[in-house]
Amino acid sequence: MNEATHQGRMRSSWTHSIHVVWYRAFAELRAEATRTYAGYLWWIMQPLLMFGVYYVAFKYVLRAKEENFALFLFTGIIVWQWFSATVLRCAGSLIASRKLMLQVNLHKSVFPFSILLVNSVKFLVTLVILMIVLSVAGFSPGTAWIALPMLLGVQLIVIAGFGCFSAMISPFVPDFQYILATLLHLAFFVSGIIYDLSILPEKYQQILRWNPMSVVISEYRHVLMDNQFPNAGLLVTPLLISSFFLVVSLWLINRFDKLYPKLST
Amino acid sequence: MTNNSRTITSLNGVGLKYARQGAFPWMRTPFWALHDVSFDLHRGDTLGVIGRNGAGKSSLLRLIAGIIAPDAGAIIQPKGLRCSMLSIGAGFEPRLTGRQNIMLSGLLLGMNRALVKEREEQVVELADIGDFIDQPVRMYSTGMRARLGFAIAYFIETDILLIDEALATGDEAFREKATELIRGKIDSDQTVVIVTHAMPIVKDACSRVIQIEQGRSLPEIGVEETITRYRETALLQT
Repeated sequence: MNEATHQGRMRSSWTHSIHVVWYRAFAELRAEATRTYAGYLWWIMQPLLMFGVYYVAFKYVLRAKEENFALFLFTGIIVWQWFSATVLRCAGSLIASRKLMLQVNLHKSVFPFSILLVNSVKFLVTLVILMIVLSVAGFSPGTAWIALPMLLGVQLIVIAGFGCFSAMISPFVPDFQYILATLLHLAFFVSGIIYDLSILPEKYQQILRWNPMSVVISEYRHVLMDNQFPNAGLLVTPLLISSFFLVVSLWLINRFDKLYPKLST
Repeated sequence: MTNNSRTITSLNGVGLKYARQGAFPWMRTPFWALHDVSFDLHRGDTLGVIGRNGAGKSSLLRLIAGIIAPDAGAIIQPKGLRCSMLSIGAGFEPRLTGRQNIMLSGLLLGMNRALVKEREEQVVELADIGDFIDQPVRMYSTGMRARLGFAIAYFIETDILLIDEALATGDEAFREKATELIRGKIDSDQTVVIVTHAMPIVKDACSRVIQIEQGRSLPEIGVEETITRYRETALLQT
């Protein structure tokens, strides 16, 4: 009968899910840009203004002794924000998609992944701004910068792992979103964003190597500010922890695929 | 049950429970929305599902669509069978234009990009909202949104089309047009399951009808007889 025509044109396979993720991300980026007068310009202006604030605050208000503290902080914060903003939004992603879930049969991992894609695009723009600011400030691009894609890849997996985990769990325990916000706030202070890990006693440094984000952030600084290649050995732990989270969460999201729509009623 | 080779979906003693919210997670109590629903759906059928509010009719559609899974019994479908709900405005992003939403909603409804592109002009024509098609959907009136949503959903290609009666949106003229188009689909080879309270639709359009009472499907009888039985039970229970 006409089944043959349906195959291929109407799909629920994972290649279709990838299309959905792409288009949802594109739609959101586009929608966000149309909301304001400056539109896409905000992607550039927002990080620049943020850096401007740090620069003024540390150079003129707090009179930081350390040279380039503003750049040091800026690097840490944008890397951190890519992580924390994504994980936090992922936590609400399945809950926010309740209505849609009851209407169409979609892989539920589509929701966290489209958020991941949106925030990754925004981060890439910010990273380019950071690289320009660094170059202007005298940290000329060095050979170590070619290691950036590797760092980006590791961080992407870190974010995907924690993002999918929070997306997976919060429909069962909506309170998790609040707990997560607090945990992220705490993590902000133990990820070496406002200080360099090397100022800590060796004992604490050892412990913080288990924190994926503290490793990633300090490696970004090594690459971008010291022109040093990242210490691949240190990146193994974050990669393994996050991959574990990612695989387990995706497996569970898939397992609960028919359960999530029921939780919403 | 006339010809088993034509059976494309078969429900055997299907039950569905929800967890009723308690004060604490461990105080949840199960609530059975459906107890025991059984029927066979054949290719080309137009099956009406009737039952009072809260009888679990919408849940039944979601079960057939594979959005949720039964907690008792089984639903047997051939592998790769496509069942889609006719959802109006699924996943609309109000800040995007109508045209962009055609792609977004089309993908969400399970069409692939090529199919949406191919049908875009037809969707625009069917929606018939003029220049608004290139305006953000948030500028639309409720009626315009419904028209666009319906126009997209109309082009779903699916083996079983699942329709919840909440089609009655938009202005009078469009509602008539929508009903007419749906009737066109129903009269074609398309297999349709339609949940409704409107007995005229059941009488005119459905080739079979299933009545659900308190989560159980009553034995299947003719369309006219079922309508009579439905009216009687409705009277008995009030």
